[in-house]
Amino acid sequence: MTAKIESLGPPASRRPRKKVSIIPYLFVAPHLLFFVAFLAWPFFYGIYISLFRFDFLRPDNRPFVGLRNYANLFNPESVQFDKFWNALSNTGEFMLWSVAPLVGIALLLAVLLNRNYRGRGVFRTIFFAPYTLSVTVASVLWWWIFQQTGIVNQTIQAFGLKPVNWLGDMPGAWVAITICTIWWTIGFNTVIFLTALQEIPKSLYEAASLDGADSWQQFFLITVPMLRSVLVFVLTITLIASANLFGQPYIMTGGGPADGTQTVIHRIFFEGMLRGQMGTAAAMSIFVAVLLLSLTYLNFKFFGQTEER
Amino acid sequence: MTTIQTTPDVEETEAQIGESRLAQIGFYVVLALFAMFFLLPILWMVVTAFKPFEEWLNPNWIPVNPTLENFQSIFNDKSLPVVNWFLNSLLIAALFTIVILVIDSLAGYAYARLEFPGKDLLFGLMLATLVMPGIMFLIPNYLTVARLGWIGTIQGVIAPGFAGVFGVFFMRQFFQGLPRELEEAAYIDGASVWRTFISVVLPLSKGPIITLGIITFLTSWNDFLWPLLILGGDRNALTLPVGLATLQGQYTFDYGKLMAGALVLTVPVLILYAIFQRYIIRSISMTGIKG
Amino acid sequence: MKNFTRFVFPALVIMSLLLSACGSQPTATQPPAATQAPAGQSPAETQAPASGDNACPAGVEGAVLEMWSPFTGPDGDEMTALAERFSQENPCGVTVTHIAQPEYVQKLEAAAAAGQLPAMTAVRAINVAQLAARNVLKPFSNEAMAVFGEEIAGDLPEDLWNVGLYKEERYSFPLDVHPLVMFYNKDLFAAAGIEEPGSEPWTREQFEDALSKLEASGVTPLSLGTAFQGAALWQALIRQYGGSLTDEAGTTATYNSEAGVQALERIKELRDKYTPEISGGGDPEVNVFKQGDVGMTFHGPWWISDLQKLDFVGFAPLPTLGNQPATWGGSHQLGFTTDDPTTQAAGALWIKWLSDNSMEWAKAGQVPARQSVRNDPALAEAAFPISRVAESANIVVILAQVPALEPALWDHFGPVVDAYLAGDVADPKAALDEAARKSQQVMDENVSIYE
Repeated sequence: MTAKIESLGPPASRRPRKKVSIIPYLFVAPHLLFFVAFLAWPFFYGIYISLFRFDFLRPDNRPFVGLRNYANLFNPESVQFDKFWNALSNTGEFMLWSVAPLVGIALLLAVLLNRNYRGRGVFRTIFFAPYTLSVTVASVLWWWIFQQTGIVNQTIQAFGLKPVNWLGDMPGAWVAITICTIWWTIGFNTVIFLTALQEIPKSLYEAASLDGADSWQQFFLITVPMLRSVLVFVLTITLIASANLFGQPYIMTGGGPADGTQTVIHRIFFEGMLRGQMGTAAAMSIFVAVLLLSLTYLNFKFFGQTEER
Repeated sequence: MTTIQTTPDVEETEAQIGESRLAQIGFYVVLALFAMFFLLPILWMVVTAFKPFEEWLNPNWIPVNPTLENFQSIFNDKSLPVVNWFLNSLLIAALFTIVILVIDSLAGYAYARLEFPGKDLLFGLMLATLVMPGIMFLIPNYLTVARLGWIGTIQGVIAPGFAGVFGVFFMRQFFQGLPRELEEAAYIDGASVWRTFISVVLPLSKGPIITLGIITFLTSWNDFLWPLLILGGDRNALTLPVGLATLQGQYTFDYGKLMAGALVLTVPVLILYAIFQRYIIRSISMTGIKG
Repeated sequence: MKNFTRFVFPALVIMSLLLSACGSQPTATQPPAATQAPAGQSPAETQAPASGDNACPAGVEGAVLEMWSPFTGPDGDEMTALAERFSQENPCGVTVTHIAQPEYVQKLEAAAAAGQLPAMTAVRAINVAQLAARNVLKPFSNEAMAVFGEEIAGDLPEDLWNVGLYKEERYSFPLDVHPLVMFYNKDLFAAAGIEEPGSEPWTREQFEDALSKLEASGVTPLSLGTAFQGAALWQALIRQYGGSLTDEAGTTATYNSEAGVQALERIKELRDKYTPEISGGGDPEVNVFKQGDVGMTFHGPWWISDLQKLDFVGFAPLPTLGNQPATWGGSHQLGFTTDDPTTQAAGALWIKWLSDNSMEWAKAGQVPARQSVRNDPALAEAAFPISRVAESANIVVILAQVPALEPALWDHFGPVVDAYLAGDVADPKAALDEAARKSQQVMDENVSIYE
């Protein structure tokens, strides 16, 4: 990605006489304007806010607190500590629940779709369809399905089993949120895997099967190694997407039961927007951002390196 | 660029030809189970939406007395301007997509082909933000939007997204892959940079522009947290995702109406998807290649 | 395609630049002036709206004030209809903008930050102090207070009237109350030989008697869940056992008292003995009750319109499960988001009119705050199930008016109530102590935040 940028521009002979032309700046200006306003500036402004007790409606009551908003995140006696770490561990728990199936099942689906058979296009269309819906449609739908009097429990009861309090109990709430998330987003990962599968040269498989490798051996000896870089990519975006979980629990459980599915994004939303404490919320988001960056870095370091071989 | 339609018969190997009929059936059963997992929830939404009040809590998959009353009450309820929500979502996603396409292809071209002091620095900065989680920017951007007086407005919803760098990278990547000869020929003919871009480069870029457009549109169409924060001062101004969350708050226990509402919001999208699914899936697959 | 690149594309560039520049303009999504300007037709013949002194103050004659409301659905329509009637009968008018839930308070605060506040708003009583401290709500001017007159306070329950005060200034006027309602199954009651309750809360003896009769008739007597229902019921019971969530000033959390523990144990006992296994959000306890084989349940009045559709459902106030009657409830209040005294005076006219006419508002499913309206025999006719629980207005537990007090309390006792009712907490006293300690921390921090 960081490769040296190859530039061309008008051929040297026709380059404007002035050393610096204004034209390239005109090209980048529209985007740059927004980039500065909504990505560069807020980066620094966010850090600035995090150093104050910052109530956006009380400019008169906005004392500088230095690093206290950060320190509070590590101080068990602070007001923020319990709820913040609870939310952070909830987000972590969701990642444990969701990332493996979101990657594993997506790969399975991609393999299923990569074979040659009648109706393959239809199945691909079906698997991807939920991804086009909004998070609210997906969440409201599964919220209804997992109601205590909903279809899942009614089906379970028809088989003589005890109904489960999906949304109101642990781990039922995570199961429901995870299934909703898989249903909603797995099509994305599947399509990416499928594309990568199709780029694996057919000749590799032909050679392998001439050597007597069966389907499983082919999968682990050819498919998986060839997919490594895509796997890392999918793993990374899935980790990040899972870490940003908000809409599903917001709608399906409201963060309950007993704050058990309140995610860290929800917590920041609550602290900054509902409690109006933007200083602490900004500190939380910066802390979470650092965690996510480290995660991405580690991910590439551990899984990405082997790709070189 | 590989397309999914032209899949090589990867698995058509010796091993498979000898495959028993049983395995074949098993394969289809697995596929069918997955298909059910993706389809049944949508079917259940449809079924519930057509059920009268008395049947909502019954597990029957065919309504005994199918009714349109859920839809009628959704459309007759003045406090649920579903049509407005749909149009708002459409307007917001369309505006967002158009502006992104314009500014990102301009910027992408400059970073790919033009030479200017500060280019590497700017590009490096953008690269850095690509890996930064969006949550960092939520609160400061909210304050900026509030200060600009954009709370509750369309520009408040879309403007922060214009800063995104994915599209710039995407377009730059594409422009770098274009052969330079055409542009050089245009310069020799005396065309300006602008003219070359407009009449030589852009006509060659239909594919990536459509792809970026679809991805951008979908992102905006499904966005929830930011519009939830920014919109809401006026029920008429909500987007579909936020509107449905409102609907859930209001019809928490009127499951039939809630599902009718969800269905109304779902059907247009699924129709669009059915028409454009080839492009949509191809677009998604291209984001993977870029990664 | 050629045209696209030659003309459309540059046009789009320009458009996008314009778009970015036109930020300060209001967008196309602003609400159209919903109500017609107050019509010239004089209200001479319509039922005299206590006209006489109701002239709009000079300067706002003919003005149309905007009020935000959190009411969605039928009560929102009713509020709009009332505003339209007021606008016709009076020389100044009101339009109601219904704000999307969820996060109503956040929307108000966002509007304040963006300078887009309306003239007035309806809010929940528990949010008044926070909105006042954060400069969203403005204190009532003398001009506004003059409109109400002296005697109106005497017609309102003291707690409801006083909850509008923050730092000794009035920030809101009580419109209604929404107390817990007892929903019962008339058929099962009849079968078990239980006399249906009236509009007075059942005594503890009556309640116990009903439980045993239901049980004797082979029916599950109660449907009690956790989540909201558990926490709301517990708040009612803590008062029924003589305790309270906080001290009178709202500065010390006191819910870890003996009464708090008793209340918890009482609900647990009822759940263990008399209800099916049920818990979690989404009000599953009501769905179980709806299925028709449970004797009764207690829940918010927002369930009335739904449960009314079922013929077997009866309505009554929350019984006394502890030692004295008390119920959980909220209250909608009306406040100003402008401090212009003239506008406020005009708004006060509307508030008073609405309060005087809150019989109409009761039809939308809210208990009028005004005693005289609740005493009016016409209420039973006009707003049936609401009339059954109207007297709950006098026994509703109202929190002290301290910024962000409810979340400071509920965020911490809520999980304890849930966990205890689910059987995950052995020592309720210790759990409540710990929760109260955390609540106290937040309350202490809130003092510095909101002072």
